[in-house]
Amino acid sequence: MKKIIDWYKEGTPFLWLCAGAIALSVILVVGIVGFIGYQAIPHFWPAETHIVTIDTQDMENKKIVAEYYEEKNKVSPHGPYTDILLKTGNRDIFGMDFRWVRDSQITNSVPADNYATFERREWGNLYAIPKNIIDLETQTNVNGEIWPTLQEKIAEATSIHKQLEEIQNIDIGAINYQMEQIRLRKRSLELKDKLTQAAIEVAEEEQNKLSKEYNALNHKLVELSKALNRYSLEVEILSEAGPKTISLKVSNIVRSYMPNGIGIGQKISIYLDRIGEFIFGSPREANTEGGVFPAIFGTVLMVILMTIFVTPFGILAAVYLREYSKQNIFTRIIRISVVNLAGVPSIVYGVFGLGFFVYILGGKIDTLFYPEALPSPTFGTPGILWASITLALLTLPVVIVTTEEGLARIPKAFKEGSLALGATKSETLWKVILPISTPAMITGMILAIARAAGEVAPLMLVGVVKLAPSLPLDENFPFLHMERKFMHLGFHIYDVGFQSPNVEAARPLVFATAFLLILIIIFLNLFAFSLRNRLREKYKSIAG
Amino acid sequence: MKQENSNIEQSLAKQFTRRNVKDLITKIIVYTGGGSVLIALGLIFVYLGIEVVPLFEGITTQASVTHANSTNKSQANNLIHLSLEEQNKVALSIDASGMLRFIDIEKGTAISEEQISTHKISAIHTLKSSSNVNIITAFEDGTAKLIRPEYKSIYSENEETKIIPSITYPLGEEAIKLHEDGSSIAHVSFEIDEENITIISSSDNKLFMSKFTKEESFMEEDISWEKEQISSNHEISPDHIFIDQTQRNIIILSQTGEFLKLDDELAINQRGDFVDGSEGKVDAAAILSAGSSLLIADSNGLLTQWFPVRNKSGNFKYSKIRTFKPKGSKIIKIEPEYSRKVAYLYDDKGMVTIIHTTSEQIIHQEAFAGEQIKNLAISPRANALLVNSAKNISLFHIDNEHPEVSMSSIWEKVWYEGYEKPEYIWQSSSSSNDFESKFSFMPLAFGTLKAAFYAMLFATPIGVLAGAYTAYFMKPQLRTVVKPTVELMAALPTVILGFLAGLWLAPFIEYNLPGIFCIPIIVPLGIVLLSLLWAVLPSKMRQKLPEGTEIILLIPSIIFLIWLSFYLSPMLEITLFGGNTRSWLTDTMGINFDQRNSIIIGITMGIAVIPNIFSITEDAVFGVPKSLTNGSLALGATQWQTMTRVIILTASPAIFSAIMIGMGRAIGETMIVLMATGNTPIMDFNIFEGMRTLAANIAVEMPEAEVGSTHFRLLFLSAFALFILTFIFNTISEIISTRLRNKYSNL
Repeated sequence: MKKIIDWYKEGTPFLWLCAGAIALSVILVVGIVGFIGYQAIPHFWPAETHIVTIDTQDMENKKIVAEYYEEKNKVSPHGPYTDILLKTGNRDIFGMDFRWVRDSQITNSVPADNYATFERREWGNLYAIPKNIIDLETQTNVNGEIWPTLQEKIAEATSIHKQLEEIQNIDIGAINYQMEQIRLRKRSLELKDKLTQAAIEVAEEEQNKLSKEYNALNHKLVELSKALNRYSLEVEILSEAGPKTISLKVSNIVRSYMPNGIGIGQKISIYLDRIGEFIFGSPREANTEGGVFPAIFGTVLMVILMTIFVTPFGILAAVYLREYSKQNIFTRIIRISVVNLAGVPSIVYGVFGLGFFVYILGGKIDTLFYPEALPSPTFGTPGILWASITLALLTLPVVIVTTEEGLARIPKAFKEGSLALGATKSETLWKVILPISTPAMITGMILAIARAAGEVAPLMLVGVVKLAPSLPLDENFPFLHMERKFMHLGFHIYDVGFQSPNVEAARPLVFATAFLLILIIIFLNLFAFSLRNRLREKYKSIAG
Repeated sequence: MKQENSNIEQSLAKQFTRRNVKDLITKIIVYTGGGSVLIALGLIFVYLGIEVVPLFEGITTQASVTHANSTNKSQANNLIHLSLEEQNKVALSIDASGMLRFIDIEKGTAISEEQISTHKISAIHTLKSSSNVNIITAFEDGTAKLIRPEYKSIYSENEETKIIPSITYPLGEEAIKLHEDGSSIAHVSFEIDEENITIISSSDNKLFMSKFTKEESFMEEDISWEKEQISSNHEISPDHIFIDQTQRNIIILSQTGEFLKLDDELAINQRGDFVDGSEGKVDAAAILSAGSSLLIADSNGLLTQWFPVRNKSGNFKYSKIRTFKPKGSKIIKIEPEYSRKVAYLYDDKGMVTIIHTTSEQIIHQEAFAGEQIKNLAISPRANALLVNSAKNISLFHIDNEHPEVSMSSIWEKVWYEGYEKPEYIWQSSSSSNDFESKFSFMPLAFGTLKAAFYAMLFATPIGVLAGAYTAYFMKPQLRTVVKPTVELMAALPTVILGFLAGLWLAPFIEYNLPGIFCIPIIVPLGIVLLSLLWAVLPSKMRQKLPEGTEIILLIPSIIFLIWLSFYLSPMLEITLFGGNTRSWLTDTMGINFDQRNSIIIGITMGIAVIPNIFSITEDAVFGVPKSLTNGSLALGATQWQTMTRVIILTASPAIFSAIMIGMGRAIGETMIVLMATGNTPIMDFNIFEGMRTLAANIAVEMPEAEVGSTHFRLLFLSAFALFILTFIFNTISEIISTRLRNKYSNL
């Protein structure tokens, strides 16, 4: 008994509650990251299919081929039960690719061993038994063993697809771009009253040349798409009325595999292939399938541009505050204000960016430098330039504060020694102070990058879009198109997770995107953290 | 030797100057760079302010063109109608003799004239809408004509835009017979939409209603109007007649303020008195644009607004909504604007009063003509005013961009047309053209505070306790791992937290409601129980385990306790809530339930805020001088006593500032709220419903707001408010921390 009284008197229960709070915090962090990873990582694993027999009022003992997708424990007045989400695929036939059933409604479930999974460019997955391949040109069956032939034809179609995309995006894109440039040049001359007959003729000649090129390319496109659509695959699916044969264009297949029949090695190879597609591919089906490459590209480019803006200015401001300005009350006020700006909500920066950069600065730039394109705006509309400047402003306090902290840690003796030896202030700065504080600056830069990479709210106002028609960097002069809109990983999560019509199908992809973003940000933060720690140790040893 | 010396000196001097120049250049670069950064940061504040200021600026007026009326005095004095076109270049005037003139305002001369009837005009009514102006001119012989002026702009590159006015007749050029008995039309009013035109007119003793319905034949051009007419004796002597936008309600108003409301069969369904006191008389009355509001100026010097309000039995009755007291003498006419709820009143001394009804303000008063005003025309874009008096006809430019914004319209309950009572409403846009935007900040401010409150409720205890424990009790090796791990939480992109909350947590909590309410009971109880077990454990066994085992023991225990809560959830749900907590809440308790509600926000935003609170608390507690704690322990206090009586007390200002910083972050957080709530601007503290915050509202509405509009500026105002609010919060906490740091160093 005395033990218990002591236990209370010493405040042990409260102590344990405090410990509980920190334990809970750790659980939350690790749990969130782990949960997202847990949801994201298995998504790319080729899932096994089952023939599920369902017995409900509207479908008595119907069989469907499906993947087990998710389970949810629920309660009804009669007791707990489990809802199971089946991915039935075949959206073009069933009208939906997911179906909730209660566990009690599933009367039988056997592996669907002879069913293959077809990932399609349109309509999502198809689960079917491949029957035979038809050459549409000759209307004959293609000989040979079906599965290897099919893989061969899919590979062919994929390579044609690549060529088609290249022509469409790169070659035709370039022609369109040049056409637009010619139109703008003409308009610009017209505005300056210098549009002579000769100039018009030159422009027309160029236009003719381009349209000839265009026609040639278009011809090639037609050829290629003929080749692309040459083969068709007859498959047997399990529809509501029993087995049914339908035809599937080989060109529509991204990937096909027998999920139940293949070994672990093949599964890993499919797994890696799908991860590769996710990272390096373009989105399909309103962003709910395919890859996120444009979003990664947009995020990285925006962050690089932002770093270019923020680093020199942030360092200059820190040097000014620490080394050049007088340490009086005014400087202190400025310092506090800068620290506080880091706490201003990011959406406020977005509003500022939209109002000041886009409408005022962008509008001015348009009337001064791009009058030929008006009334359609060039810089007077949200774009990657304004987005990166806005984020640069948002992350300025981070860089300033971190750099200043680094500058403040430099032992006074270093600076005084340098000055006493006759060095000027600038020499002291360039040769002593800046070299020592470089790691601090890099830390600030990395923290700024980590913050910017995860920021979404301001970007929604100043330049991010759900689907950008072209990347901001391409092979048309001047290569970097700062006025273009761009895609962003964070916004991708928001858009696909909340604005997409087929949320169930999109969810794994959103988890994967989120996991990717989290990994990047955690990596950046840990890097900055270890850099800063090493820096502190170094100063300690110097000062000691 | 000398030569050499001077050479060295020279080169030294040269080098010295080069070094000086370099020094100077560096200085200039640092000063301009640093200065420009500080200016840029200051610019945010200034620019946001600049965008907001016009909201609260009053009206400005400026005289533009004046022409003397001496040359055509007779016409100017007899005008019964005056209106402007959009670009304020051409005016239309109609005089009592039926002469219609388009006037070039710049030159002051007539562009064209047309005599529309040989009869004298006995009554006239003008109906303005944002798309066009329709005028009905009624004559002594019981006929009338519906007139619509149309203006065609001709643009050319070098010259000024030219405007060609013309007259069209929507109901045909032929005069239509409104009074079959041929009696003179004393009063007339009408309402028009795509399909129907309803004209109400009265003679000395009878009221007539003529309805025209559009009949379109298959050929597009062939339009005819089906006419239908009814009449009745009126019971009061009308002074004003109105028909509202729905074409179903007719208001007849006598000079003494008595009124009748009739339906579209001319049956009376409300009668009453619009003017207080037996002496009171109606001086002027008008119906406001786009709606059914009636403005009545009476001889008591009051201006009252009335519109139909649904009562308990479901009938619409005209009710007095608000009263204005304009300074001046007897009001002779009320001229409403084309699309906003602004009206211009002018009295018999020439004083013009501009009011906005919903914001309840008298915006401006000015005697434009300096004498009695005969006619007044407002530009359709509300940026100019044409004033006709005995001497002059003159144009004034009016800058009145944001009349709908006042302190009362933003912060107080406002009674909008069509509502049963005054309410706080934020509704910035709608598909309808005649929609009146409702800009009350209250639901947004309330939502912001609600979200922040629930987030802080979750985050404060965890953040503070965790910070204190980590700083004071945790072993250094563990601390170097735990602290950055928790701080990593601050770096998690909020879009990811929001997405998890909206797509996973919200449905999960919906199905496990009892479980979520079990957690705050079961987890602490479980921890206390565990510590008791630990205490009664034989001390031998305790000593065998390494120090700091508690925390390692706690992590799996807490996971187990949370799992236990959710494991118990279905059983609780079945035994206590009839198997469905959600419907139990709505049916039995009458509490609304949204899937994306404040619990979700509290937890998710709490997670985002915890690291901020944790980090500052931890720093402060860790910074408490060792001498203090050692002293306390030496005097025989236990660890816990030292913690509560010494450490927490010393560090309390910093803990307060940590909470302030957390609050600042919770107020401005956008993505989490955007994704994890329904974003409905409601005013309800219910934990099972969502909210819309200022920040989320900006993210939702900013891309669609028209640049320079009231809506746009109000969004800037909310951004400005967020800026100021968080800035103040952060500054206070920064000052507190600095002071505390000084105090520590003194100790």
